[in-house]
Amino acid sequence: MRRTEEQFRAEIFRRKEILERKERRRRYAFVSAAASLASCLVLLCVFVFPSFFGGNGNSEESAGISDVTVSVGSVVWTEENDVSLRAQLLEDYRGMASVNTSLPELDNNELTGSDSSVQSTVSGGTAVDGPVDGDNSVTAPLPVHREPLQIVVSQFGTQFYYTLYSDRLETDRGSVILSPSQSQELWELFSVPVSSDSASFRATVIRAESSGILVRGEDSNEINYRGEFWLTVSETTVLMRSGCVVSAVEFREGDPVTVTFTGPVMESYPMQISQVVSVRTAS
Amino acid sequence: MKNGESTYRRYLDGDEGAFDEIWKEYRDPLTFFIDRIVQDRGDAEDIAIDVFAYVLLHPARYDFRTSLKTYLFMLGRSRALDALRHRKVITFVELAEADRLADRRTVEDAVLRSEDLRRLNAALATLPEEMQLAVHLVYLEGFSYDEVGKILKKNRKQIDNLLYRAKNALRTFLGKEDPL
Repeated sequence: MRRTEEQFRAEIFRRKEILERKERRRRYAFVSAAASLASCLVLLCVFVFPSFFGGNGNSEESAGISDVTVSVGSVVWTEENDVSLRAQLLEDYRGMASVNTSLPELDNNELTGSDSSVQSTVSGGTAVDGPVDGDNSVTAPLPVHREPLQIVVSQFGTQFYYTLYSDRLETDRGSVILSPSQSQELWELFSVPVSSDSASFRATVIRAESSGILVRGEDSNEINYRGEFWLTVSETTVLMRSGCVVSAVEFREGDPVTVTFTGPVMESYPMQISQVVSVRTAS
Repeated sequence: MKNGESTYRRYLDGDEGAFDEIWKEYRDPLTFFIDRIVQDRGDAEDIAIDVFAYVLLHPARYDFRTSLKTYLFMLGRSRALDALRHRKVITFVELAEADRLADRRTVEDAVLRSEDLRRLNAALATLPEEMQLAVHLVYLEGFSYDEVGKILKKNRKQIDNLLYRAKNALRTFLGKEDPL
């Protein structure tokens, strides 16, 4: 049927909208393709002519951060982000060490100084307490499993040694007294379960109580670590949520956590783990 | 003959009513011309709408070097040829054929205002397509040879030849000494 004038006019404006959208899509596709092509060319140039972009292709600098490793005992971090974060942090403290050389008297790994900001009872390499408030009440346990931690940073063939205590960090340039927050930051980054029979798996919190936490092991885990687990929380269990030391009840349903434990797993339903070393969410 | 350029200038200056004047003036001749190429009344009207939508979307692309009518017919021809290239080859009789024929008559009535032009239009169907278009543009729409050359993308000499041969063919068909 022949369109009326109103229909004809309306159709013109409708087609104009369609044309406009088509042209916009065409422009977007063109720009995207051009950007992709440019990216490919730049990458190609970087790989084919590395010296033009500031490197000679085989120097230590061009090798980048992947030449840096940070290790604590048998645990070695080589992944780029972890390494850069940890190495930079230690480098900062190493710089501070040259100006902070006055330390409380230390005796046999036991802090006996008058600094009331830290209360630490260290014996045989194991710490149980952490930073306290001014009134000496314990605010939170530090995630300290084995003290001191021997940390080695290997950078371009040179090795730097650090010894981390709950209250201080010793470097090759001297020692740095750590505030509670500094201490916590370092221990969060460097403390690792060192028990030879410990194991870890990823899980999601189902329910949290003061006595324990019910979690569900991820389906991507090894078959032994799937399904529901009841984690018994003891005084020595390290509980960390979003980088902060918390009590068990502060975990929320759905929190993704990494569970580290030692000892046996009781194969009841839910399965039970009584010797839980730590439960941590990603910070 | 009104060429529409002044109306178009008003449209460029923001007079929205001017665009309505333009499409109302050229709707039928443009549809009739496109119909001659695509041989489908509905498609022809759709293509004419596309031409006006294009003008609405890109008003600045008309540079006034030709008449507005020539510009619209150039757009119409290229879109009609595109449509022919993309048209599926499906032959069937539509139930609405009667309506379409009636529509065609309406458009033809709007363009063909004399009996001579109606006879000429009927005779055009016997000619090859290019000749049809050239005769249509010159004798039904009143374009100059140069304007026809621009629309059909041919030079002046080619248009001369086309029209010379077309007139000879029509002379035979219409039985007149000089039908045009």
